[in-house]
Amino acid sequence: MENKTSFFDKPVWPVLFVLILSLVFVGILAVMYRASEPRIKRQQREAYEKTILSLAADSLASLSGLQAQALESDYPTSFKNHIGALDEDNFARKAFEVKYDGTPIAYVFDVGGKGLWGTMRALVATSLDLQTLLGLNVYDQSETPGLGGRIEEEWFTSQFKGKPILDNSSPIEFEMVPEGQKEIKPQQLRQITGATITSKAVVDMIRGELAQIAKSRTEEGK
Amino acid sequence: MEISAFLLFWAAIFTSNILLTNFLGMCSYLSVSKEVESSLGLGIAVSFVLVFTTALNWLAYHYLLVPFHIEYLQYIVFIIVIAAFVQLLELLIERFTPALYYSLGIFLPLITVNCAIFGVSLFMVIRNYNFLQSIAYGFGSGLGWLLAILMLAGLRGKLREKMVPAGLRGTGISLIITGIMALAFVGFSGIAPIQ
Amino acid sequence: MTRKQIFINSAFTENAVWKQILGICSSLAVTNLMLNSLIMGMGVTFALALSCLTVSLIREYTPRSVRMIAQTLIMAAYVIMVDILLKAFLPQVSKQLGPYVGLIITNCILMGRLEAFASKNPPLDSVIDGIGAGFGYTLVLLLISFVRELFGFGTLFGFRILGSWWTNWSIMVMAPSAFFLLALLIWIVNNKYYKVV
Repeated sequence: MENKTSFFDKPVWPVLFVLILSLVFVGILAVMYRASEPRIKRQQREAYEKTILSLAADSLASLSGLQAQALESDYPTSFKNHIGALDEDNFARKAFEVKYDGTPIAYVFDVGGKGLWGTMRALVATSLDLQTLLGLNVYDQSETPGLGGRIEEEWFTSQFKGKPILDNSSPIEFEMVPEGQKEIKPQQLRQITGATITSKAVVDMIRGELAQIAKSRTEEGK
Repeated sequence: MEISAFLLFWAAIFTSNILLTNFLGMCSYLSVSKEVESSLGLGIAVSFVLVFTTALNWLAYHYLLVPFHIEYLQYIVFIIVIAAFVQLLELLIERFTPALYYSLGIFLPLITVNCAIFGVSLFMVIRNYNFLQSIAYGFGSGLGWLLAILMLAGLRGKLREKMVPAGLRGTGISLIITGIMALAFVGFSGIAPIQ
Repeated sequence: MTRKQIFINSAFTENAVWKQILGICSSLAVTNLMLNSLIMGMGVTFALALSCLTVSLIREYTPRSVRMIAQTLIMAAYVIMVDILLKAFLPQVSKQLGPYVGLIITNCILMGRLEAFASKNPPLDSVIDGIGAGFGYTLVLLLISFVRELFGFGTLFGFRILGSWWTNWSIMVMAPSAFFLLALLIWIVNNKYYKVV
């Protein structure tokens, strides 16, 4: 009668088993990850650039007579033609200028600040003198889904269009009013029901960042 | 990152309760909440595991995954850290407090697949917390989970099952009670100031 | 059991959500929009089916002492694959689902099916069981998100159904509604399907 202990009964086998299993799967995952990495990075870059383009589209549309939609769908050509990256050192953050016919007509800045749960990042378009907001897009936040997370919604971000944001280099005060309020005065902004802190955080972030940008600009004598 | 750890701790319990707002940790919550005592025991165990695994996972992420550019393996690493820690905890509890070990029974190893624990580690990475913030967030989430399960256990103890329609007994009514609690907690959402 | 019976069993009779009360966490979290629910359901089914297949294929060779670790490892690996695929091909949805994709790993349904069925049954049966469980899960998600999206946003799958006369019910966007709707679903199923008196 065979009484030999097979290899599979030795205590080292389970450990080896898990090790082999891990190596096989980690190997497959590494391959999948490397293969998809360029695609994912490209998509992120495209989404970022398309956001800048859509923020710029309104100002471009009014000058060029083209429809904002047409400009947006003409990516990447319209991006190459109208958006130029500026030296980050000048503004201490990523900055872009919107050009029509070679002449700058607006800026887009990549700003960041703290929300309730983590940092938030947004792309904000302003007039050349930095005094008026032309558009806002919150592209990264970790607020509560369904509450603070609603700062990405259209109705919230579009209300910033055309709002005066700076008075020379000092940020303008805004009054936060309930979401359902019908009439909005120029210095009022609707906040999200149940997410008043996050709403205020967005506003404070924009005000603070732009005030800094304006200050650094006057210091540089630009 | 300027959000104070202290503020995060309180917010994790009330304004963004891991269970009532983020829906994590439901399975064991629904099963164990029949009795207050085992709920308390499990809640404390979960809090304990949360603090330590969040800290360990933070270290693993920042000193192992990031330097080697293998962040995409975080799911595997985190779950293994959690499983190992729970296994260790199980051995310790069996050795030093066997009464707790027997009353928790199967639910001790089930802490490993408690989505709340894994979820807290994931959130910590997404929100880019530093070490202190992670611990505060982990501890706060644990206490928040403990609070939720204790409340449900207390309420279920007072509930007269016969008055509940047959189809709703057990899970159904627990879910409704939880929903009402979640609604109540939404009312907390304004209290934590930032500055 | 025939293959068809296996499917019906894991999809309906022993439905993971309404009968076994598993996988609740994500059932509540991603059901704010139907699209999120569909993708999440498909992700779970994909990970579940492949995990069941793999676990079943190696069940003869898996040492008993490391059974659970092996299952966890396999599950986690397939979920990472789902995550990578989503990020690469559906970045918008990936962003919406966020960390809940990773949380598929702790979705008790997976561990439950692997332990209860796949580790003891032949590969094809296990895959069908896995697909059935995933299907049943997706169904529950879609039912809940149907109500939540319709009343919370006035849309279904992003298509506007209710006109501008409709005031969105904020509660449908928030956490509590999911609890209530799931309770309602369980109640209806218990009464009609299981004839609990």
